[in-house]
Amino acid sequence: MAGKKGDWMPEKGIINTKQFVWLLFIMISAFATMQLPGMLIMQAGRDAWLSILGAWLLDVMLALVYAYMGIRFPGENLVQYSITILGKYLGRLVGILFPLFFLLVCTIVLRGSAQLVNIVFLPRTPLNVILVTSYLVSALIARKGLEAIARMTELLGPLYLLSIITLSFLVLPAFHMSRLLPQFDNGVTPFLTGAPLILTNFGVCIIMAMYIPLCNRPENGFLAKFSAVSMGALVVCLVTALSVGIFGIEDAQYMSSPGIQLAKMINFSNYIERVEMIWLLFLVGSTIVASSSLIWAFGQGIAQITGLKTYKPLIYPGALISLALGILSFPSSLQHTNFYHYTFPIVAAFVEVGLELLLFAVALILHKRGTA
Amino acid sequence: MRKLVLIMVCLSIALLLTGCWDYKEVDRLATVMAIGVDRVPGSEIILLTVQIASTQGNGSNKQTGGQRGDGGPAYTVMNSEGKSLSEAIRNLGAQSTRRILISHCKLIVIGEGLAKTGIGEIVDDLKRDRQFRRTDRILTTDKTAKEILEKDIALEQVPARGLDLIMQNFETAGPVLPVNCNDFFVRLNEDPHVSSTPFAQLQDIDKEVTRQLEKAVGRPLDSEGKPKTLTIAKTAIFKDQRMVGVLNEEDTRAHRWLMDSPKGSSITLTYTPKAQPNEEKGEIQLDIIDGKTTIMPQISENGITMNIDMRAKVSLHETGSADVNVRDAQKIEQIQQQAEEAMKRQLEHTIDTAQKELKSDYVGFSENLHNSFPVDWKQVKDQWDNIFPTVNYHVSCEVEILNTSIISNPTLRSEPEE
Amino acid sequence: MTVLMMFTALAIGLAEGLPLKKKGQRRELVVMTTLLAMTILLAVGHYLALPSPLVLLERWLEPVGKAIFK
Repeated sequence: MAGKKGDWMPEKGIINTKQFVWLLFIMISAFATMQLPGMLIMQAGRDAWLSILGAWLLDVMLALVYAYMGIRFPGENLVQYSITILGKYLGRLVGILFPLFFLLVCTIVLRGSAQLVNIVFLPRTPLNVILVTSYLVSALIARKGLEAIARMTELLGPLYLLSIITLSFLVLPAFHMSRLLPQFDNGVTPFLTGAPLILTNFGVCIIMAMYIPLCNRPENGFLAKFSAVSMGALVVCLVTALSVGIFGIEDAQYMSSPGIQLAKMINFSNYIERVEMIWLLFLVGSTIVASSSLIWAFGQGIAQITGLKTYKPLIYPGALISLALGILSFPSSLQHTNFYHYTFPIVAAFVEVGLELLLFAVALILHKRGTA
Repeated sequence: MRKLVLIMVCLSIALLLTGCWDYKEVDRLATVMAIGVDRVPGSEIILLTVQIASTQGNGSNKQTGGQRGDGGPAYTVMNSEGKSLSEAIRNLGAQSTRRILISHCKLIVIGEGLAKTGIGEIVDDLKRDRQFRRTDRILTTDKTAKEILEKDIALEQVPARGLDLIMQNFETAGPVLPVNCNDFFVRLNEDPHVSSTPFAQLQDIDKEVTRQLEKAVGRPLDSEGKPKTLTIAKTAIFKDQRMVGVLNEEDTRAHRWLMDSPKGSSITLTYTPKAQPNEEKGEIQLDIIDGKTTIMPQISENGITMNIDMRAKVSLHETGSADVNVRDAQKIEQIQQQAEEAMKRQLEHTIDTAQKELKSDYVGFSENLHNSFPVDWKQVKDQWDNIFPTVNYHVSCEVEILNTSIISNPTLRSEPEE
Repeated sequence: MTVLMMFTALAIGLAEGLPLKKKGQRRELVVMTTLLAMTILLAVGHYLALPSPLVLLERWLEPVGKAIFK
């Protein structure tokens, strides 16, 4: 029976630790640099960048749990070990929540990036066309398997990191330290509520539990996650701190994407300007690759729950469900933003922290271990 | 079958790749270089003036020859009106054969009528419209924006480009603090809600020079009258989205010292020699090469005191008719001291104007107070408008002469004949 | 939109389903068809003005989110 044996896996590809790092980095940064900084600034004001550091710490602690579970159940991903821990029926009920969550994240990411392209660059193009195109590309990548996705991230990840660092240097002349000061102006509450908001976004890299069994060195899971989330936190931190230092909190909090506005602010010595298109290229590329790995995780998870030999036929139907959700659930960009800001963190916290800690606790109490 | 489906999918992707919804042909675009916004006080209508660069280069016109050999004007001015800024922009479509493209706009000119009645309603569009950039520069005028945008600027074909170049020059040197939309908005948002923009005027410099010369030579000058010249030498102060006043040239300079840095500016002072009465008085000009202004608030039982400390490293640019031995260390000391006093007087005058006349904190007091004493700031925040005029301040300046340019002592001085 | 989605679902069903049927992978076929049926269900639901699952989720959880976040 499927799920009983630890070595059984619909995906045949193997990734190395370096690819693991870039996969997670793209996942975190594509998701968190698009709209999140604005919401975070709304939540935490000038302390936004500090709450990213707080979230980074929390996320590293969470990663310890995931990495430990990956080692305790060797060769099993989180869908499989939830079946191992909770049994055939309850385990499947809990296990299916993870792939569904990945699909939800995919819906939010791609809808967000399509919206951004639509609003900022192609206002006359229908949103659905941009959305369909993005889904086609990411489903195509996902169907090629994890190795294809990993190779793409290996290329895009360093470029994206470099582009954000370059962007930061280029907008530095417009930065005013006095707009970022004073810290802790309204006590520590903004900082404390900001941290969970961003944690739920960083937490998307629970997808690492899907990669660990496919990594050639599963024991490096924590190390990979640590480097990825540190780079991701750096990137989001840069974007957030620069947005506050340039636009001030009053304006930055209502921007639909502070990152793009930062790229539009580049005017280096009246010479380098209007380069936001280049940055958008990397951003959209990253979101598409990130969502392809989310669709892949969905297909993989569902295939394991239902005990299929291959996950590939599920990729296009999965992408189609996500597309349908993306088009039908949000009549306007406002609904998307509200969903992302208020509903998503609750769902994410439940799945990322709640479910995983539950599995962890049950595994410890019942002394369940991986078989392989 | 499978191949057929794949081919179909590829073909449909190819259709999506053309981007046929948002194509823009360059020859079908009207590139707006600057926009000017006016409003007649008491009326709701926004009057818009846009300056559009002509895409017909001068080179191509050479072939046609004849009457348009000069290439014609390099720009066109269009006007429209509407209840809001975006409506006025859309109404331009009624007269333009080309699609209006604002992405390349570099400058926003606000006419006096609008500035005085409040710019609140255009600010939202400037922030929301994807075509405007927050790096666009902003300018206020005592005339209408229409007059400013219709004015030719010497040496430049498109006046908007000329105005932009003037502002670019101000970034490195000059008395006026250039402001882009972002800085303007952020200052209006932040607590004292006071912001500033450069202030453009049309002045008849040519006529003034002619008049004075005619008076001197006692006959009409054989010179052709020139149109008025556009000058940017003052600063408009906005408070709560309304223009509350204009700083004169001297205060503008000190405003820049306080809000930005003294670097790139200059000081002119009347040198009065001490001890040796045989030395001449004279105007000395110093160029500020490097400098820094810090405002340190201090809270004591007497209230809030602002300690303004300004340091400037200068180069001696001109000694005029002053007979001063600059190789004498004592003399240099004296010049430095007098420059310090002149700067201090200027700063005090500017702060007094802010406190007493305009009652708006454009000198950066509240920003520094907020950053240094966040807790105390919360208590005074709501009554800051009342507290600001009573804030004590103490100015200290330090001037250091680094060099005397390419000569040291003045030699041949022209004695003014009385 | 509804028709378009149903058509796409059908197309994917044919493109992926026929090879599966040839290989005799019945289980895969059933799961895939279920997923496609869910899409069609979503599309029809939208046509009948039923709220999408995300909207239901939002109705349920948004008050919680609003209580925690600004």
